[in-house]
Amino acid sequence: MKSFLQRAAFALAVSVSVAAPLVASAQPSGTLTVALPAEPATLDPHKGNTRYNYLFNSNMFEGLMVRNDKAELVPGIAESHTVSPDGLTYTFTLRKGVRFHDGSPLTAEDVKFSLERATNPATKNPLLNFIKTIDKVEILDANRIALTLKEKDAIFLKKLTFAGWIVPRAYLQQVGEEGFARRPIGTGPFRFVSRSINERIEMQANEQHWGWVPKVRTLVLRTVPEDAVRLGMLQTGEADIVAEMPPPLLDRISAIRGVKTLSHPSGEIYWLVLNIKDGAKESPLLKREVRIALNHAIDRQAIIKNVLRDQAEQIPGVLAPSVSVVDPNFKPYAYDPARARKILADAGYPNGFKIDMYGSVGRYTLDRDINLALANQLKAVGVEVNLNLWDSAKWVSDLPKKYYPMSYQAFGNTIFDPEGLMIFGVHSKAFWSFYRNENVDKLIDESLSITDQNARDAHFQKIDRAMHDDASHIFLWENKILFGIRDRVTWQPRPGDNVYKFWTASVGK
Amino acid sequence: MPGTGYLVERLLQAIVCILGISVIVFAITYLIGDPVHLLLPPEASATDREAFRAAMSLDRPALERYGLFLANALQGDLGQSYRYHLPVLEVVLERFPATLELALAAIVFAIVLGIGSGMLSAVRPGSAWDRMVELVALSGMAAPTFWVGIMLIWLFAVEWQMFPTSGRSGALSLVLPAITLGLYSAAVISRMTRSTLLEALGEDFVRTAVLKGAPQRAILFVHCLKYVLPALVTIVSLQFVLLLAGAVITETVFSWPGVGRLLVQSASGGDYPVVQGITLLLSVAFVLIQLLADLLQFALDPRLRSAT
Repeated sequence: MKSFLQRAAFALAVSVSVAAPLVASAQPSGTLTVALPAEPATLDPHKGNTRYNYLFNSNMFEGLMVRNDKAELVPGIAESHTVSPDGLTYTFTLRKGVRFHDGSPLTAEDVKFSLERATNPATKNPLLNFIKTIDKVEILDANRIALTLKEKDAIFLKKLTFAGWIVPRAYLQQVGEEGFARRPIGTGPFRFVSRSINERIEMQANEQHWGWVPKVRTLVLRTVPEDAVRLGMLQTGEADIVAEMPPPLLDRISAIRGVKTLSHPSGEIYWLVLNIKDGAKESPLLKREVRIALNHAIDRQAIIKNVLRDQAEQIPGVLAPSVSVVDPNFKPYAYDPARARKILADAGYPNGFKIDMYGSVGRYTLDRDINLALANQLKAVGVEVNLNLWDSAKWVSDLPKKYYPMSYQAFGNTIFDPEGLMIFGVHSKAFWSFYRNENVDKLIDESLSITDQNARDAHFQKIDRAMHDDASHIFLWENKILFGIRDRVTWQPRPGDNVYKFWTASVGK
Repeated sequence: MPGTGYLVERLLQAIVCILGISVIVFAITYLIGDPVHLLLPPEASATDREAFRAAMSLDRPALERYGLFLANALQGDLGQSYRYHLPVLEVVLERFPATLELALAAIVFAIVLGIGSGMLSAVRPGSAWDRMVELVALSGMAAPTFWVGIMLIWLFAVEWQMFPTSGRSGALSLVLPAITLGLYSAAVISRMTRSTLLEALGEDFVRTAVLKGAPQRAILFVHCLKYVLPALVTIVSLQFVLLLAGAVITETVFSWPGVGRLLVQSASGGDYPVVQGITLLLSVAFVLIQLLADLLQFALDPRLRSAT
């Protein structure tokens, strides 16, 4: 990890020192081809809900607030904003001279139209939950716009970067909903050129961008689901960057001449979810001691090393170190099967117990192997795990309604804040939570009104500790995304940001 | 007109068949489960999920949804894709040319290789050539498509760099996927050609032709071909339909932007209108191609005509 950071810092330092004198005259040049395993289905930023939609959106569109290449929250289409004392009204001053890719100037009308469209139920925006607190959008004058919220939201601005994309009103109304999804126009660093569905999306540098003119002229996103074929494309030079490679291919990628690997912390955490909610009336998991014992039963390092080929970092709780502040002295549960067995015996299960576990196949990296490894390690301390492995689609659609006593899952980071994880994955009221703890619920409720970033960091660490002490889940790891990158490419994504931004990437000979 | 009764009977059969398929297609997607959880992120609340379900009319009773599905389908409206937010018919038809192109290239490859090798085998049964063809054909039938595809990519695209690894960019990019897809059909056609031709060569009319001194080439290409053709039409049309519907793996391996991949993505992504649309359209194509093949056979084989 340390050497990775050193390398990253070095790469950044080099690219900065080389690029600095050229900034004034640098013209976008070259073509960067990125091979991804999947593509965004729709190109409409208010209708998509996969990582590939987020990726496309963040290169192509902008919100009032945006994330820069270091994933920092910075002004986008708005150059500044003020918040009313009650925290309910946000007044944004629009940046001057912002133009859509077709050359038309961005106006307050576009902003109003876009946010109303994004929050209109008829749009069927899958990300509606992030911004549905917007009550009304008012145009104050040509350059100022006021958003009034139904209730206070401490991280409203963070959510705007993810769901509040601005689209051109006139163009959209002219070409219609479907026409827009086919040929989208935005204000982002790249503009859309063409698409062959399921094959490629081609984009070009937006040289009129107000601040982030890409270094490459053309960006091609190729959709190549087969891992071995992405590997082949790296070898032949058909792709400059191949993303999301399975860890077992690590050595094959490293063996290719002129190619380097990048292990990129994803901000996504993995846990073995223990169901202690409504369905779990008789479950042994209701006992805290049992949950602690199970945490001691798992040899995380063995799985990380042997199955994930080091493409993961063990974590003590549920916060991802790449995106949240985690105390370095906060230690994970130690692997200690003898202790696990003793705690189980003391808790009244000297002979263990039987339990069903449900795992997906094809949803997470190597999920089949990991499910098997986890089940076997639990069996080793006497817990008789009956492992059911299901196809990903079946597993997901049953998850909310069928009782899964234990299941291996992940939770992503989308807004660089643990709020999403806490509200939607931990709080007992959450749809996707299987945990119940009044104290943790109370702490999460409190977090909603904390706006100061340092106070938030401290508060979420407190929640993390509380969950660790209660052994709310079997805590596992934050995974890393494996890339293969040709040496001619200079690109350094911000760790924890899995919405890749390509405007800082450059290609040499 | 002779054969009108036959034609009407086959048409009615086709319609009943398509109706039956529509029930199965609908029932299967209904059984797979609730697509809402596949379509919405974990961050969506329970009320959002209900609203989304209502917006997609997923909260209506199954029978009502089937009726709506059928009534709309008859008018050419297969619904709206959940993920693409476009009409299903448009989404599917947009990818159809790629699938058709691949299937046509594969069937041409299969016909040339299959009939050619099968005829050569039949002329000299038991020869070294015959045995070699048999071995290759059996391997062709046994080899899994994804393995053949990956091997071809590895050899011809990565090692020798003669073709692109994947994608649809001109004629060169068609070669490897067409071979991958057509290999199985070539093997089947080759075996079929050999056996029917061997059978024909043992018939009385061949002996007569040989006795009256017809050249071997004429016996093979005129006398025997007429006899073999109806069987070949059946097998080729069946194989072609399989190629149209069975390109899923080949399309995935070669990132070929066709209907097969769309089907897989839609099934795993919860986009059930697209799954229903593709299955229904492919079934209709299947039934129509079979109908066409039957009629063609009717025209080619005088024995069928005299039977009705």
